Amino acid sequence: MKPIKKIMDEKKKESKRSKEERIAEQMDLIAGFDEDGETLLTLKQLLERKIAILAELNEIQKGNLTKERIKAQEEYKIVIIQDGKPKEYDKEEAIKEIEDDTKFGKQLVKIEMRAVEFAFKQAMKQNRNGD
Amino acid sequence: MTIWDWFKWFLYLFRRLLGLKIIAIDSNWESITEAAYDYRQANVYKHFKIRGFKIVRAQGSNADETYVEAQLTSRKGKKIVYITGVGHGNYDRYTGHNGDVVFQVGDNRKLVNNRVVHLLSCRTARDLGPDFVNDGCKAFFGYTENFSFYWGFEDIFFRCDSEIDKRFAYGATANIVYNKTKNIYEEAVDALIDEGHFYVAAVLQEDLDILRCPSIHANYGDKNARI
Repeated sequence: MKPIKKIMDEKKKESKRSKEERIAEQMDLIAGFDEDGETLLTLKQLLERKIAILAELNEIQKGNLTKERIKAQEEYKIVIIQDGKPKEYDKEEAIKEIEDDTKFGKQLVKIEMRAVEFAFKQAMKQNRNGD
Repeated sequence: MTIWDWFKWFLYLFRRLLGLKIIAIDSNWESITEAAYDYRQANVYKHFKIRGFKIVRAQGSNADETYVEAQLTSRKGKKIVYITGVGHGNYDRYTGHNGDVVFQVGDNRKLVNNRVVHLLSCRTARDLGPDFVNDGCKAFFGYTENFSFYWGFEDIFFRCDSEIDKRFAYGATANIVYNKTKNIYEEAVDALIDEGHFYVAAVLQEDLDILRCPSIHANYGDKNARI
């Protein structure tokens, strides 16, 4: 079995976009709220204003944030396995799942929030390193 | 040869003499299971082979209830100490070829008693895993909800899960197997974050979160179990 590092090195060679491009893309996506709890802010704005994210968001805010992020993506499709068969969701269908508060919708929110958290963590790390 | 090499050689001979076996119940009837099957064929079973285990292959169209039951309950099947596989699943069942049921909640004592089970499958850890343990399964490793992965990154997801098989093949206890597997998952999540693959990292972290085994709860068997 290949070590993770070796697999990641192979991915780097295959990738069409650089790490910097992927991180820059996240910077311009909605990632949280201003202190009023209503105004949506990008990751870049959150970092500039030194606002911590996610910890104090309620489920409705997390759902709204996820919907906004999905809407902002140029191309969006997600495939899940239902009864052993793949089912594809486009942007509108994914948003409806979140609005209907289905189990899949909740999973989408959870993954989106975690992705935001990871992006925030990485951006903070870069800031600390002075990149 | 070092003392460690001699020791490994001795263990190999010991297992060969005992004739210990594992059974691989792998589906490959559609693209998702096929991807995992290909990975496991190339990367997982060689670890068992070089450590002296014989491999009973209930794969492809043989990944069905009749074949698996015949293997596990035959006289020769008594030497099977480990059940592993990839297939679609649900809370109460694990399926094989064409989605047909291989295991389901019920009386499975003759199939799993005194064996360790690892299923790369959705949801089986919620009901099927604890049911197996009630029927004498020494340790169960599986996932409570949907095991998800990203196309293009599937080798990372399968690599992380395969650590379970690899460590059992090495003779580790269930507790060590979990700790090593958790380390691999975390290493991969960190590497993905570092490269800006935040969604892939998020899904992989989710898979780790839904992994269940004896180290997480006694419902999944004995932390000190090994094969």
